[in-house]
Formats: sequence, C-alpha cells, structure tokens
Amino acid sequence: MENQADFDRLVSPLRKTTWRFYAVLAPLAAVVALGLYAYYVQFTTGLGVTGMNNYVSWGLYISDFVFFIGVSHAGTLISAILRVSGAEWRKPITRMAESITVIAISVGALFPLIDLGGPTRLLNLVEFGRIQSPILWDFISIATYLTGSLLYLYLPLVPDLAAIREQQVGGPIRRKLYGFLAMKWRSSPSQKRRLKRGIAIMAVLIIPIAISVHTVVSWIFGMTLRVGWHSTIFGPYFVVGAILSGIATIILAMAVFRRAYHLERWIKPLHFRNLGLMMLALELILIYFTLSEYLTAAYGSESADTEWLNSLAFGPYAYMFWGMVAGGFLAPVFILALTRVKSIAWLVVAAVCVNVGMWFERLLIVVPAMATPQMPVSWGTYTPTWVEWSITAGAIAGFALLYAVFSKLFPLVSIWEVSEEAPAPEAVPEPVGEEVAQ
Amino acid sequence: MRRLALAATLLVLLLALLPAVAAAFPPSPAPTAADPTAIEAVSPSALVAGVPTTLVATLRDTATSSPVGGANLTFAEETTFGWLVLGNVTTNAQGEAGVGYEPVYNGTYTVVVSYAGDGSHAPSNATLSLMVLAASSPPPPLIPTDRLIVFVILAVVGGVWATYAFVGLQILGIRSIGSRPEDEEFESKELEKMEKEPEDAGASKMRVPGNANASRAVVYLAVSALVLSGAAVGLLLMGGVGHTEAYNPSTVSLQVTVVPDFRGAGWDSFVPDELVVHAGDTVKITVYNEDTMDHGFAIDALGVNVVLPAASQDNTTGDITPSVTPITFTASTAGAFTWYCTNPCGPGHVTMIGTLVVLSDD
Repeated sequence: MENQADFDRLVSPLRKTTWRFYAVLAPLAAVVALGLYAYYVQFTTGLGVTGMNNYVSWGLYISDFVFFIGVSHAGTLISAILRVSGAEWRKPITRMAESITVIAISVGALFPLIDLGGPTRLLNLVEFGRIQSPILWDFISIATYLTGSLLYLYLPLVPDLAAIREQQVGGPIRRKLYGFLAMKWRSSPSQKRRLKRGIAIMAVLIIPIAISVHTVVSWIFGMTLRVGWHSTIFGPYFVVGAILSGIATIILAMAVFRRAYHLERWIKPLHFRNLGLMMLALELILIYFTLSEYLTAAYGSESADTEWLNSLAFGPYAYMFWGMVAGGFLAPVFILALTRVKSIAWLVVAAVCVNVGMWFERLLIVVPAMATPQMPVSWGTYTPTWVEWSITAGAIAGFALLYAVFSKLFPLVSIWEVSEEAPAPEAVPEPVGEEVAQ
Repeated sequence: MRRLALAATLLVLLLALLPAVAAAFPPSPAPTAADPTAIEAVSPSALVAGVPTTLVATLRDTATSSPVGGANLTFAEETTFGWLVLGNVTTNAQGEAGVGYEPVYNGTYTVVVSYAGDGSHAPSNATLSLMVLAASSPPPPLIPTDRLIVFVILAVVGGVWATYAFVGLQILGIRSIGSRPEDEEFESKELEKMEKEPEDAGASKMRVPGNANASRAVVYLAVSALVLSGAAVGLLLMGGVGHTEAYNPSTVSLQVTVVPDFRGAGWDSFVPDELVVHAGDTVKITVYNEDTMDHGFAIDALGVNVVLPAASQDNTTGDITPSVTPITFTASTAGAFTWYCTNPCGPGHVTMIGTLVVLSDD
C-alpha cells in the first residue's frame, strides 16, 4: 500500500470498535428482536394476526418488498453506470452502493416469504410453478440479481482483502475469512487482467439485470387486470422510483459513515452534490410519471378508475396520498432546488423525505387498488396490525444493522481503487459556483 | 346614416322575397286519408357475436292487410353516439326487406326499422331488441403462453448464469495463479496483453486482434449453443407448461337460483351467472326458481332447454317455496356457452343470462 496513513484510516473501523458502535447497535438489535418476535407470533398463530383479509390480501409486506428491492438499485445502477461511463469520481462510493444492493435484496427477498404465512408454501412454487407466471419470473430475476450483485460486490473487494490479510487485521477467524476470500491475490498483471475483465463484464451485465428486476416486480401488478395496476407505465415507473430511493439511501449512508468513520478525505461534498443532482433529476421524472399515470386514469372518468382515484385523493388514503405528494415529491424538489444541492444537512433531509415518500408510494400502489374491487361489492378496508408494523420496523433496523456489521468486516471505501489514482477525485472539475457548505 | 339606409334597403328586399320563397316551398298538403301501415320485424332467435345474419322486416298496409312493395325501409341501430344506419332497403312484392347484420360483441342492442310513408301510406316503425350471445370460443391470446415464451425466458436466464460462470472462472483463475510460484515470462506477456486492452472500458474489451478473435468466436458460439440446448432440455423436462395433471371427467353438481329483483335490479337474474366445469364432465345443475312466474333455462350449443316452473306462494303467509328443476347434461365441448331464459318474462328478460365455461384439458 502506497500510503500507509490512508490505509490505516480506511481500515480503522475493522481494527477497533468503540462503545459508540455498540450504543448504536443495541437499539437496532432490539427493534430486530421485536420484529422476530412478531414473526414468531405470526408463524405460530397464522396470518390472521395481520390486517390482511380476503379483499386486501397484499399489505405492508408486499409494499416493503417492493420498497427494499427498489432501494437495492442504489448499488448496481449507480456504481455500474458510473463505472461503464468512466466517471472517476464514483470510486470512493461504489462499495457503499454495492453493499446497499446486496443487503437490501437480502432483506427485501424475505418479505414474500413472510407474506406467505407458512414458509414451506414456497415449495409450491417449485412443485406447481409455471414459467408463464410473473410470480415465477420474479423469483428467477431476484435470485439472478442477488447472485450478480454478490459477484459485483465481491470482485472489487479481492485486492482490498489481500491487503487486509497482509496487514494482519482482525482476530484468527476473520484472518481466515479474509485469507480465503482474498483468492491468493498478489497484484500480478495476470491477476489484475482477470479481475478487471470480471469487473467489466459484471458492470455491463448488472445494469439490464437490475432494470429487469424492478420491471418484473412491476409486472406482478401491471399484468393483473385490475384498475390501478393494469398500466403500461408501471415498468419504467417502478425502475425510476427504485433508482430514486436507492440514491436517497446511499446519500444517507454516505452522510452517516463519513461522520462516524471520518471519511471526509474520500467522501467529498462533490459526491453529495453529484448524487443530489441525480436525485433531483429522478424525482422530477417520477413526478412526471405519477402525473401522467393518475391524470390519464382520472381524465377518462371510467367508473372503476374514478372510484379508485376517489379513494386515493378524497377517501381513506387521502392523508397518505397528499402527504406523499407534498412530503415525498414536492418537498425534496424544493429543498434541493432552494439549497442548490449545496448543503449536506439539507440533502440528508431531502433523502429522508424521498425514502419515506417512496415507501408510501409503494403502499399506495399495493393497497388501494385491492381495496376498491371492480365487482359490485363494497370497498375493503385494511389496517395493518402491530405484527406487520413490528416486522416492517424490524426489517428497516435489520438493514441498518447488517450494514453496520458489514462496515466492521470490510472497508467501505475501495482502497485499491482510490489509491490507484490518488488524484482522481480532484481530477474531476469541481462544480462551478461557491464553495460547497458542509 | 348610410349604414342605416343600407340596412333598411336589405330589410325591404328580404320582405319582398318572402312570398317568393314561400311559393317555392309549398306547405305539405294536409294529411289525406293515407292508409295506416305496420312493420313486422322478428328478432332472430339466437344471435352470436361475430356471426353474420340478416334482419328481416315486413311492411303491411293494415287497412287492406296486404304487403306494401317498393317502399323504402330504414334499419338503424342505437349506439352510444346516436343512430347508426344499417341500410335503406326497398321492400319486395311481399313487403319484405332485409339487411345484413354482424354483431361484434355480446350484449343487447336496439334496432329500429322505420318507414317514412308516402301519399297513400302513413309512416310507421318497429323496434327490435336483439340479444347477442358471446361467441362460444373467445379469441386466442395475442401472446401465446406456451413453450415459446418458456424457451425464451430459459435462454435469457441461462445466458446470464453462463456469464456468471465465466466471471467465476476468472476468480478461480486469480486463485490458481496466486497459488503458483511467480512466473516472470508469463507475467510480462500478460502485462503486454493488458496494455493492449482498453482500460476498464466494459464491453469494448471484446475486441481482440488476430487469431484470438476466431477462437473467441468459437467459444461464444459453443457457450450460446450450450445455453440454448440447456434451455431446450429444461423445456422438455418441464413439459413446457409446468405442473400439469390429466383431468379425469367426473360428475359436477352445481346450483343456480332465479332471484327476483337481485340487488335491486328490478327484474330476475340467475345467481350465480357463471359456472366453470371441465370438458367431459357430467354436469348436474339444480335450478331453484324463487320467482312466482315461469322461466326457462337453455344452452343451445349443449342441447339444454327446460322450463323452470313458477315458485308457489302461500296465500296466507306470503312465504315463497321455490320450484326445483334438476338438469343433467354432458359438457361435451370446451368453450364459453351462454345460458338464457327462454320465457320472455319482462323488461329484464334479455339480461337474464349466464355463462357456462367449459375448460379444455390442455
């Protein structure tokens, strides 16, 4: 390693863990435990403990599933697109993005299982599954996506793991793990050639896979002949929302870890600004898609469409719907535009708004369409129970917990990539304008 | 002033023209003793969507009760946006005129046949209420959910996983190089190769000069062939449509009730109005009639036609005891068949229908 001081700074979270880390970990673990207990209650007494019923058979769980799979688009798309397009400033943030992907898919993929009630029902998919059904497409594409993301996270880790192994970081078990995962890397040209080939292939391959995954998720809804779901815009609508919540999540992760692990030298205001601009652009596209989707349905005034939109805009979901529009769509745009994407603190506020808004957006796609049936019967209602809320909270805490643990096992910044071209971040012209406030 | 004069002149001219105009369009003569007429038109008994038919009407002079030939009858269908003229047809010597009609969708349609009248015949019209049944087999889906789509999915997914395997081989290559002692000559060659390749540029790495290109093409072809044949094998293993089991026809017992004023409809309905069976099943439908008048139950394509007797009502308590009519038949062919009431029972008669879906085995 050329710069020992940089190396030490970047691997210091792996070397020592302070009480502060456990102080953060403990409440997260408590919430996860609550979620596990709620799942135990559901597992032993059945899905009756949830608010789901024969009208609304998909509730919080499926919304959480869509949300987490959406968040997972952070890594692949940001790091792969920037890698393929040769944007050098991406180097310090790619690993954070890629690890978000793997963790978010792992957490999100649990939700269909939770939603099934008895997890053994998954076997029905193997025994009775038909490849013609979007549900099985979903199963296949998520398994493919998780494998690809793991490969894509792992490949750039290899040189770092070799360096960590050399420097004797961690106890005997971790040393063994690093030694195994380092694949006897010694930075020889032949190894570098294979590594770069692997990374190049995965960076290109993972982009269509990521896009297809959220498109397939949207097709589960879009290919159902149901008012509120049967829409041609659903594929791109879901993908844009996914990248948006992914970017918001990586901004949050960057802000947290930059503070906690003192990564200011690598994670610069430039990164926040660039990602903030991407978030603003995607938010505007999402607003445009939302307007297009709802206006098209509203203008036609077909009775079923009108009933569904009425329930959203003026009915039981009105608070959530207008809250999402104001807090999740408009507020981030105004914050980002007014601060001109220059304040990290405001960027974090906007990212939180975006993520909360996106979660409600998923919920408002799943539930109201089910609650307003097209048959001449009354509307359904759905009120999530404490079990569903606890499992949802447990999943969010579990995501944070896994991320925290990951940050203690692997360096969050790709050491070999940032030291390969040390002046890389500076090489990119800083955005024109005043100095970025921190 | 000049404008006013101009306007006054125009007005005078107009007034002078009025008698001339009136003379050009004499008022229609007061109706003389024209003979009253009537149009007889009969709805075809079973109209099916997509099947062309002819609507026939007969014009009669009701005073002499003889047909009126050479008269012009207009057939018009009521649509959401007004009247669609189906045709203007001149009656023959028997007073008959016919127009071709091909209903596109099932439903109830209104066609009015009208006669404008002439000097000796008064105008008249007749209304036809047409009940069009659904075609017995719906059109096939645009995207065939058969083997082709399964093959495409398996091939695409297989290609992705084959690429993963290739990336996995790169990782194993790194490991095997690392476990060998360092080889100066090999490494310098590799360095040369790497320098020739574009730096970290994704797909553009595929361009390699010389013989390597040919051997690489062979490898790609081989991998593609492997993936495609793998997908084909997967397809064969799954039979293309996943888990299927041959269905053994059996006897299916079902119930249908004639409910008066169902959900405030104002008339009678069959409840439920859709039943699903498999081809070859022996279908036993028990029909309860809760209405105090006769109805009927017919499925033309399956040769079912029975009368549902009226329910009996207790004169003192008003309690209604429904009549029970068992129907047994074999669902010989697959398709969607409409059953309908055969007794014209009132304004809701045309909506008193239901659908028997007979699933095919595949």
